[in-house]
Amino acid sequence: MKRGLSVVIGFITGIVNGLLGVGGTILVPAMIYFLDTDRRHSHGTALLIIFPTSLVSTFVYYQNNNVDINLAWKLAIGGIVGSYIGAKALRKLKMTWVKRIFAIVMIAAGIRMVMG
Amino acid sequence: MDTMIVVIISIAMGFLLGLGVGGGKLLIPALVLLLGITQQIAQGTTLAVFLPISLIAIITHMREKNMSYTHALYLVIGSVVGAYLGAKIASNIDTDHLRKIYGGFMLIIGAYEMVSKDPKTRLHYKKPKEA
Repeated sequence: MKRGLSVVIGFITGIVNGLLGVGGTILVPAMIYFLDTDRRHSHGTALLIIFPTSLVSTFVYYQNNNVDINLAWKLAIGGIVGSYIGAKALRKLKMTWVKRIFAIVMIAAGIRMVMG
Repeated sequence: MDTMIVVIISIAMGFLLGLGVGGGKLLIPALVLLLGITQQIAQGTTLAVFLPISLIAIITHMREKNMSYTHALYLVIGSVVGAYLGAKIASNIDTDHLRKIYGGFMLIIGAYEMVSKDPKTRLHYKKPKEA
């Protein structure tokens, strides 16, 4: 097992998590391609890493008054409802198209974020 | 705060999560662009929302034994340190700058999703009849 490389990949994942507030976007592909983690294990393991990582990030944001608890609650409730619908819809949708639409929305929103 | 917008945003985010497409990545810009909150609060709040959600997902994966604990240990050592530094940096930079950095990140991810044959997608495709 590549211990040194694991720590480095973990560090980069942590920086992105803390700086940008996103989960483990780069972690799953990094584990598969650089650490030879098998696919079945990669998602579960990634989640296991992201939880303590996000906990640390959230704590720092909270200390700086950058967590809106009231908003977080509402988002969590809506999110649970939505994810139930999404999981049901999973087998009915063509994922290639979902991915493409997702990519287009990401790019459009990204442009607005950079320009705005 | 516009409750209707929050309801729509949250359900849409959850829907993407359920599909296995990153919901958090779009939640942050949605909060910034539609609710007009600062980039820092959008990021901090999103991180908080995902804590209970990922906890539930971890339990599910543990039951299915989809974990590699030795791999996780070394990755966590690096990621916790990185998270602390990253969050400190985010808290100390101008919100407009942070938003632009986030926007740049979105463009990269968007372009990647556009061209990649994502392993996540294939994983979901295989699932139904294999078990």
